[in-house]
Amino acid sequence: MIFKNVDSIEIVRLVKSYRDLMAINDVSLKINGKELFVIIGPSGCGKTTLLKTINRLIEPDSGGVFINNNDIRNLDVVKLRKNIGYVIQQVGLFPHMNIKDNISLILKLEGWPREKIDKRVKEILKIVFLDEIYLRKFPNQLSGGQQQRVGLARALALNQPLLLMDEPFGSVDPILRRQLQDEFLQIKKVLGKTIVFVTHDIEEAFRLGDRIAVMKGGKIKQIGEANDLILNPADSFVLNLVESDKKYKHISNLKVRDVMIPVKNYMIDSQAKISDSIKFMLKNNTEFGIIVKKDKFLGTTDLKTLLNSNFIKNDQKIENLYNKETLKFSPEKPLYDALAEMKKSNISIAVILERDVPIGTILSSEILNRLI
Amino acid sequence: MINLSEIINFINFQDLIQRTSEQIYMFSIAILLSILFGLIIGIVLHRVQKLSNIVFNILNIIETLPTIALLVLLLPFLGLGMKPTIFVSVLYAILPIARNCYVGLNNVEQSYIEVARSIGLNEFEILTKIEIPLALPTIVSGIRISIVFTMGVVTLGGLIAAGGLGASIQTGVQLYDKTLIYVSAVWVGILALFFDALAYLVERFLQKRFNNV
Ligand SMILES: Nc1ncnc2c1ncn2[C@@H]1O[C@H](COP(=O)(O)OP(=O)(O)OP(=O)(O)O)[C@@H](O)[C@H]1O
Ligand SMILES: [Mg+2]
Repeated sequence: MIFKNVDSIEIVRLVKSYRDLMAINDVSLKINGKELFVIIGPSGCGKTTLLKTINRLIEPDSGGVFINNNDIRNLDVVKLRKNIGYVIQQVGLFPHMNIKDNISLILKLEGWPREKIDKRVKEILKIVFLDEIYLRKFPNQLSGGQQQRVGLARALALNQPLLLMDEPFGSVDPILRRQLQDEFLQIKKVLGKTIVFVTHDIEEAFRLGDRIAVMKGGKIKQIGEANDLILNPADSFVLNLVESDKKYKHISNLKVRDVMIPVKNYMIDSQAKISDSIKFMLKNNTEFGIIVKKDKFLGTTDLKTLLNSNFIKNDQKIENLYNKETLKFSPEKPLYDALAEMKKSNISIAVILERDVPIGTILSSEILNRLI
Repeated sequence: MINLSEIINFINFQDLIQRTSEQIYMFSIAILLSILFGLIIGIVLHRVQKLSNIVFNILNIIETLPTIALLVLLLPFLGLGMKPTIFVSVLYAILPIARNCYVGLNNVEQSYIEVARSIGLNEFEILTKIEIPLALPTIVSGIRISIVFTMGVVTLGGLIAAGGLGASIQTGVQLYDKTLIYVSAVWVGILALFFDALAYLVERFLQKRFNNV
């Protein structure tokens, strides 16, 4: 390692142009050791370009980058990169290598002995919350979120003191993104690294960032903590960016109770006949029913199952034909957790119970539409 | 019609084995050299893109010359026998391998190379650990084409005293021995199919392995 720790990154009057386009237009900033520094801005504003000048994937036209006061141009470029982890949105796991080889490629090239590699790989897997059973799998056998974790593991293999992340959660859906962010906050605590994190999602910036730099058109508009941006936005651009988060902020405080819909149109008594239940659903234009026995929750049913049942010949009571495996939440459960659970179990409807009595229901698809 | 006992009576097995081993010997040397030069050319052109147009134009021109013409044209320089046959085979078989190697390397997704570079691989390691493995399925398709080419050219070598199964066919023609001609020709076909099938298996294995590229 050239650096044991990264105590400062100074970017000084950096300029990078592509023909007549100024991708980076005179940017200067200072990143402190161990902080998570977020760069945010609209597409094409130069975030990726700026990030890549730090590991010299891009060489600037003028200006410089100094890590711990060393001009990185004076360092061997391969050695420099071995001190810097890099994670990208496309993940870029090597498709011809299994997960273990993806993570340990650089360790092998560094000539580490086998046992040491195995030990290190296991260590990193724990850090990124990935099970060892995936080691022998290939990237295309993993879900998007798992691939992201492997991408991060690969970037941490050499225990680099600096981590560059370019929209690492950009391509996953909102619920998984939220989960990966939560994990990442824990990882960050464990690692104690200096991290530069690019995003165009202000909510993500607020959740993760110690400080945030707002970029636009190759220039830095403002640098500060979330509070600075909210309380003292430098200009209308920053103001708009911050404002756009208001509804999101609201949502992260929501409880299931705040968004559940009334159950009146869904409630079916356990003694009802199947045919009557079907009529009830058709009348209320629903496809889903909550079955109760003396007001207490019993289970759920859905129109398709009922129609497929043999009800014309054998019109039983609905209590003989219901689904016991449903998601039940308390009304005080945070909405995000509820949605995450629904996603995980792949069930799109949940029933909200208070002392076993259904008081509401939520449909994940419908809620997501309301959130966005 | 030819029946089996007739075939068995007529063929001098000793001779056929001898000819087959000559055939496979020439074929193997030719295809190995083609792969070697094809890969080198493909890799060099991938690195020096400017040269690719001119080099591929030259290889394309060679490809359009009739094989027999080339064999005869080279007589004054390389004489008769195996050497000119192998030489001409290689001339023909380089193009598909070089071209597929070049295309395969060029098509490796940029993000893989960027990530490889960013985690500290040097240019040689990027070539050998990332680019070539990812281009391998394409390269093997090129080799398959070359295998068929090479089997054909090596057989034609019989005309310039290279031996091999081309010579058996020649003998058949001279003795007006139809059975020998048929048996030799079919045997060449079977050998070509065999090597092609071998390459096909490799290709399929690689494609399965890389099906998400
Ligand atoms: N190799 C290149 N050649 C020409 N123009 C480029 C090149 N790379 C980037 N640009 C341009 O430079 C500008 C900044 O690009 P950059 O990739 O840094 O944007 P970004 O902020 O990361 O955007 P996004 O959020 O879409 O990833 C863009 O207008 C882009 O089109
Ligand atoms: Mg970008």
